[in-house]
Amino acid sequence: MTEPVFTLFACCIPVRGARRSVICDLQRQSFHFIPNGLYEILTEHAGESIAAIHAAYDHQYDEEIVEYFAFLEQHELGFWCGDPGRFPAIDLHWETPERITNAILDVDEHSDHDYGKILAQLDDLGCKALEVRCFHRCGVGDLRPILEAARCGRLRSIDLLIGFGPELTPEALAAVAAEHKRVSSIVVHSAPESRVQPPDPRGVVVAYRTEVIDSPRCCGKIHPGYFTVDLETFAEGRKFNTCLNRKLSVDARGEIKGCPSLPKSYGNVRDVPLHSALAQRDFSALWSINKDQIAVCKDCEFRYICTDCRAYLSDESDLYSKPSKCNYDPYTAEWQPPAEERTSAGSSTKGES
Amino acid sequence: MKKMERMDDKLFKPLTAAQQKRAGGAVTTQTAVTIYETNNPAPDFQRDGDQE
Amino acid sequence: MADERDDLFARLSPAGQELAPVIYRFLVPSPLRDATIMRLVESRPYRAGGYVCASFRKPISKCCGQDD
Repeated sequence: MTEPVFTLFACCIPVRGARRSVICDLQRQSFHFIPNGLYEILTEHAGESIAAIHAAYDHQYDEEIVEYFAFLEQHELGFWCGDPGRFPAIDLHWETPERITNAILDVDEHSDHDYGKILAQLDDLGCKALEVRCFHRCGVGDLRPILEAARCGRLRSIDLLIGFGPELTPEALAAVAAEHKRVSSIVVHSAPESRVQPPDPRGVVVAYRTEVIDSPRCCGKIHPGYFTVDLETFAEGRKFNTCLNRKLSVDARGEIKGCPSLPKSYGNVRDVPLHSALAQRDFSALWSINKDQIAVCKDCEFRYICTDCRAYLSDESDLYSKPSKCNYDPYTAEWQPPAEERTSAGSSTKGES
Repeated sequence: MKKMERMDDKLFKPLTAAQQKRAGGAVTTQTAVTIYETNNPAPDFQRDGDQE
Repeated sequence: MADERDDLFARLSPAGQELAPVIYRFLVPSPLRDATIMRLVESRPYRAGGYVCASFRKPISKCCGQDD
């Protein structure tokens, strides 16, 4: 038998950052920090026996290397085997049959949306996930026309972000989620107190937050709470923009945009069919900006599990600059003070203001 | 910086559960999971990994 | 290697022994080998030859700050 070699499980993929690396476990939806030295071993010395790896580093780091492999085994990230060719790498090619995979529909007290018309058009485009953001105080009655319009069709999940109103009790919202099975989550903003209700039998969580979310300008926040470690996001992120790719939005005034925070409108949904807006030449221009092309992000170990933002940029003149609301520095592996504090001090953004 | 850092360095400590908790408390945007094989619609799981 | 495989195979039914996945033969004896096999089984859909990924888990918008 040949010397055993270490093989990562196909769903465990190392990603190098400037200061440290991560192994993304796409099946268990978690990630583990590792030193860049271990990343080098797993990539440049893949398929080599441990004796060969020790020798490659002139036996200077034998103890550390043994520790590394013990860590990987302990966290079930890989295994020793005699024939690594039996365990090929996962295919990360990404494609989708849907013209649009996700959409945002913004609503405020002045909105006059024809929900039936919008939802039917999103359905035609194959949209499978919708987020409805209501910036104003809502009652259950405000949600009904939206959810009734989504009762049929191919839409698979609806996330609701809605302004607190006295009607929005946990019981009332639990009833909404029970009646409308496509509802995936409900977040109530501007609530008097923060609390999270236990998940219902389908796993739907109703969360109340005190922060006020009264416009698209609140969007674009980057932090680990929004990291998504799964095969689809990881594979998509290697080639496409993790936020804007296959996204379509209708803002509170009915303007059709890639993202409600972007300034460019492709027409009003009252006059322009969504598929016509989508067909305009530059609608999808930002879809292909991936993290390997974005300054700073390209050196970040989180780049394939983090959803990007192209609306609020650290340099408005550079479409490839880092999201302004990201406070992570991959060169020191430290989280800086919240970006809002820095942007209020004068940093510009490209997004709508 | 030493080329091969030790795993007990604070850099490699996992994030806390609170840091990783989905913003807003929602578990996640979640459609049904339907990963299935397209090369072979009826895979033979008993011969897992057999390329012979 | 053969002895180790026999140990594992002994825990399978006679039919199971006939059908045992070939990959077992290539794993190296280790105290964690059973866990490895369980993980290989668990992650089976992530080792297939082709996929249609129909789920959607990433955040659609990012308006909420980090929880305290």
